[in-house]
Amino acid sequence: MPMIPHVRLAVMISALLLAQPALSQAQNPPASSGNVLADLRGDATGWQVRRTVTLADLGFPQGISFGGLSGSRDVFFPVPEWVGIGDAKLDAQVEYAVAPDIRADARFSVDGRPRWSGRLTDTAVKTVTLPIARTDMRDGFVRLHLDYAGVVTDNRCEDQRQLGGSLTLAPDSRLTYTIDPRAIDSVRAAWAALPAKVRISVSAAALTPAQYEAALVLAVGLKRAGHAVEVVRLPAVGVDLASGGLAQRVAATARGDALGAALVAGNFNKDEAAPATAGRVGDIVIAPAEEIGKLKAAAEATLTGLGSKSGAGFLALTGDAGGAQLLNAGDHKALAFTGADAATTARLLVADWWALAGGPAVAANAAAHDLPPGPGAEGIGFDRLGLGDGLQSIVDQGEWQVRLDYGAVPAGRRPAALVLDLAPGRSLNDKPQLAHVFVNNMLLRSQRLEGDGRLQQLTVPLPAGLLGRSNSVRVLLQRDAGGGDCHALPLAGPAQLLPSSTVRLEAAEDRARDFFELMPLYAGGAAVAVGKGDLDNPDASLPLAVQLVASMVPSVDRLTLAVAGGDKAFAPDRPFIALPGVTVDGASLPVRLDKGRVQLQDRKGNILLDVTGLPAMTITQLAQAKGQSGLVVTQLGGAVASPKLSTQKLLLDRGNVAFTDATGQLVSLNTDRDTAVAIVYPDAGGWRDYAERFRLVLIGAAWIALTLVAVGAFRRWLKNRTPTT
Amino acid sequence: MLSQNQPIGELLVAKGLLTVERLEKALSVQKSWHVRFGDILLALGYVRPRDLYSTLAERFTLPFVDLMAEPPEDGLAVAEDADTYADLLVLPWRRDGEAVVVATADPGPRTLQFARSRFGPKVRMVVTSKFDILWTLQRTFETEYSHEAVYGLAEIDPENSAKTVITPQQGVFFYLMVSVLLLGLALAPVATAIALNLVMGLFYLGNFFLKLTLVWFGSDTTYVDRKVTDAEVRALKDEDLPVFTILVPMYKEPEVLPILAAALRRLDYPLAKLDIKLVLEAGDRDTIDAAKSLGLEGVFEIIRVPASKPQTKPKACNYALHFSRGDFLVIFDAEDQPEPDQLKKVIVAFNKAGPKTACIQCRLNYFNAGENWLTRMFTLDYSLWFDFMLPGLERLRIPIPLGGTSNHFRMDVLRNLRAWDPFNVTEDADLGVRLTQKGYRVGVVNSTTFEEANCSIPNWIRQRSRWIKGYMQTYLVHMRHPLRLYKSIGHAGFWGFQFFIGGTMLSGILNPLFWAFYALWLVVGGDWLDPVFPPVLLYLSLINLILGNGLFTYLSILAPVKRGWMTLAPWGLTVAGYWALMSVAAYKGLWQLIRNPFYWEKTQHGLSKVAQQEVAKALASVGK
Repeated sequence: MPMIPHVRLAVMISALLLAQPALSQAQNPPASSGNVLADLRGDATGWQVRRTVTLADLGFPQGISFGGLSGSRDVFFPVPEWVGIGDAKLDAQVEYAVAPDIRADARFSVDGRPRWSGRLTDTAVKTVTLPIARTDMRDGFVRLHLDYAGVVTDNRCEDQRQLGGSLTLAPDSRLTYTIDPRAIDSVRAAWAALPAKVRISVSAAALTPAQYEAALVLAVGLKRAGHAVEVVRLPAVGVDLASGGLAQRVAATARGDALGAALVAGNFNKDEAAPATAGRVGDIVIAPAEEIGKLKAAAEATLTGLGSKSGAGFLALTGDAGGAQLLNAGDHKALAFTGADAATTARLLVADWWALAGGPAVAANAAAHDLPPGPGAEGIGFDRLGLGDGLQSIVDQGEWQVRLDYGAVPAGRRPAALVLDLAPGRSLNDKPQLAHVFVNNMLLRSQRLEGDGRLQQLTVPLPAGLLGRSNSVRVLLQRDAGGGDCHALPLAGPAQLLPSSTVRLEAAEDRARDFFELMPLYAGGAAVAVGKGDLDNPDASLPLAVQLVASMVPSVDRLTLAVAGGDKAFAPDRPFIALPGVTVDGASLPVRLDKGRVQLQDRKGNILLDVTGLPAMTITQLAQAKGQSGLVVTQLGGAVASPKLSTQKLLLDRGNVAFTDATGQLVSLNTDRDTAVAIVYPDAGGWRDYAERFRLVLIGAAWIALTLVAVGAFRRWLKNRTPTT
Repeated sequence: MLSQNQPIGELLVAKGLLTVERLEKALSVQKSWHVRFGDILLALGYVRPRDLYSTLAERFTLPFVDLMAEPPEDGLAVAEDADTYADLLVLPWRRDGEAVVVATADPGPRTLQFARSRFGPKVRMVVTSKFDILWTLQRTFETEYSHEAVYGLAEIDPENSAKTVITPQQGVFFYLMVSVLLLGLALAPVATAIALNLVMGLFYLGNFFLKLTLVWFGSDTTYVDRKVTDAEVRALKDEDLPVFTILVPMYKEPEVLPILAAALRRLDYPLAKLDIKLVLEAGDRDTIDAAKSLGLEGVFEIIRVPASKPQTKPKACNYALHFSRGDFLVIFDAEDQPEPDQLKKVIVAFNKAGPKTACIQCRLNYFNAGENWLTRMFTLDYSLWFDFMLPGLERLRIPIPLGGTSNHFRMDVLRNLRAWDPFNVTEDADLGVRLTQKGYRVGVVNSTTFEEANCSIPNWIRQRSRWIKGYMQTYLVHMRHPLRLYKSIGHAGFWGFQFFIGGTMLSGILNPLFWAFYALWLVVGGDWLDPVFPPVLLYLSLINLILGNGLFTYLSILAPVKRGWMTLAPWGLTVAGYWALMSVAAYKGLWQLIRNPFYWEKTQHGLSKVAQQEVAKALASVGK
């Protein structure tokens, strides 16, 4: 077990560093330094890494709730493939409230097999723990199914009118499991085993464009896969700690910690202590092999100084320079991207081809963004929108819901109409059935379905202005159930919204008027323009770039990076995203920052937002430059985006200007269309300002001029009149 | 052997100046026309005037004198009798001892009676030609005639003259109004702007409703289109027809003279009962020479108007009025082609309308409508104006702004009202309102005069700017005493005048402002206009914008339908461009009202290819 001492050391120090703010408040008593040192010397065995995925992590921060007397839901918890998993269990926490006269039950099934059921009484919180075996996992997921049902009386009709009870699957419901890092022996296994929160460590030196692009591609790919991503810098040997940073921090904040005590006791050589920060290596490392090598050497020296029996192997790469390869990072296997092909290899891993990376190292040589865009599609099938087979068994009404994400629209196209292939099935009494089509909760079509339940095609044009970034499409089918009194369930019949239903597309303008319309344009290729300063400080600019690309660019395949700086402005030749500090050649922007203060005012002139009064504000604008549409991001109060700036809530939808600060997106508006609010430049001195400022003077001057003319005319009249009188 | 008792016709035959056939023809005509034989000979061009009058002198054993060669003695003729001289064709010529020798072209009892009343029983007479009398009168009383033509109205009825563009009271009123407006803009700019906007919005709405009402009433085909029937025209007897004076004021347009001559010859009216005056400026040698070279019959007389300011058409007409002998008078422009039975229809219309109707306006339209876009639009404009709106005005008793030509007057009323205002560049419109104010009525009749539509945009703008300037003058003149106007023309007349005269000129001025605001708002967007358009006003403006403009466009499409010119109807869709031109003209007119109010923007005639063809046809008809 040569790696164990390194693991313990790295984990403990990294935990200490990561938890530093919390530790500064900690009042815990010191642990025994003897045990810690024993751990450091590699006495521990059988280390397993425990992973947890909560319902909140899956995008249900409020949990899943059912009202009334029935409900059912599937939840898919992801589990990594290619990795040995042990000690897996599901802790499902239900909170319920049922009235005393209600007979309510709940049932949990895993992978379709009932695993627990029980009666729900009164109001309570109940945690159900379900052991998960390997056979419960399928295609990288554990499928948990919850059924909830209740009755009040024997009369169904009466029950339907009851409020019933409620049941919530709490957001803290979780799947936990352990993985054995020793079993990670391939790039794909390491990729699959990445934790929910992934730390990407980039070189301490200035990044090359390829490294920056690789970090961007990886972060975007991971973000889309549901991971949280953090970008940090690797520690610089002899620099990061030479200032005494770590020693002082440890001394000040971790006196009660065993490791801290050990370090303070004299086993700490600040000049060779870089390995002490090995935990900061993170899960993905993007740096030259030489830099990793220096870190490795420093780590070995430190471990030797601490009395570790073996420091060899810590931060060791498994392959030659280039591509992606495994990196021994103590408690886990990290992925290292060391070569000039980092971006290309990163694209391989974020694409569907990642499963091919079955070895300890992989390299890719093809760049997808060099490929020409494919032909424009005529439509988007509902099968791609999550419809499934669209088959339902309905009694009196059935509903199909799909979500049309504008990012699914291919380049150069726009949605024009829904073409629905609906097979309503025969009703029992042959009465006509009704179909209703809603888009974004707007009823676009209600239609009587004549005939005998045969397949019908409904074409529903999509009005301009209705769609946005994410659009709900809902099809409701109603039929007269007939039969079945209040005690028996009426006979249900099949109905199907066929997967052949499509969103019909038409040619779109090559210019976006709202943020969301950029998405199809980006699908044909996008350029991210960064400044040279962004390469020097990637941890500052990458979060913003990741957020924008992840939310706006449908695929990173055709993503390119452009570096601008100095006197050279960025001249876009494709749809673009320009980060703060980048000057875009010939850009036409909705908000002019060169006209002094910028305010957002309502119709009555009330100031809703004084943009220039908030120094940490980011303005994202939809710009036109060189015939291309794109985003231009401007950071007020400094060229480099503040790390404090919130990027989590920057979801660009409608509008062409968005204002964001540390709390998230404040407002988004379209300066061409919106009239309720307007961008105003109080210092701009436009004609309206001058007219208002000098109104009285101008009016006074006009009146004096009028009076002079009147007097002159009167004198002339008198003069002409005199000879005749 | 000539005998003094022989009829003049036989004397002319005996002298070889007239053929027997023509004599018989003239005698035949005389039976139906009931006019003097000499007038028939001159009207038909059978005898030269000099031969006629020298023979007449022989017939009465009186000497014949050529007043051009032997002009009258100075001081004998007096200005007070000038009109009588012209009416009786008489002029004191020379003194012969104690006797005064009087020259006349109409020796007879009335002439002798007048001469004796002025110069005593010893008066003697000589014969001269009508041309000599009229020409000598013009030369002798040039100053008096000219002064009367220019200042006649201004001196007798200054309140109705545009010589003073704005009266002091009006000046003070405007000054106070603008001052109040400026004060409002200073103290409460938004409220003032809203109020101003509201007034303008209501003005547009009123304009819209008035035009709609006029078209509604004017579209009643039973009212005007069959006002005078062909049967009524045929029932007229030539001998009962009065003398009709036709004034044709011209200036530097010799090229269209043949059209007019041909058209007047085609008139279904006894030629000898026509008193046609070609009213020409004395300095316009080209037109005078062209008129002479056409060899026109004796009924065509040339009146030379001496140069004086303002050089306007109404002044020339006023001047020519001194020499007019008809019971009725009509003005035609040089290129006009009245329908042949127009004069008879007018006589019938006057007879049916009664004595209070002092003027009958005929419809105007164009013979070159299809020449280009402008002529098409002009034709639509005139069709709407004369076929729909003027009949509506007549029915609603709203003052009718007369068109420039083909308005027929009772001569006595015209003279009583001092005829046209020479300082008003739309003297016809002014006269129409003045007639109504004085208690007379103006009617319209179903006869059309075809003119040459302006086919050149600069020329059109010159013409239209003069019209709009004239409307401004007319509005200012008749609004000097609004209460008096209200009492004289009534409620409908007053408001009709406000919107029809005031509205026509004001909409041309205001339209570009609103268009500019609208276009600016479309381009730059935003809400900067919102404060001036509170909801009610916004809806009002929307009604004006959509319903008003839509209806006016629709009416333009409808306008030619009455005449069956269906091919013109689609062009009505482009009427907005015509409105834009009108606004250009309106601003030019406004500027001229300030800078040069009495300047007469001359419209160049004869530019049309169709007009040139008409000239060729007219010349060919002369040749025949």
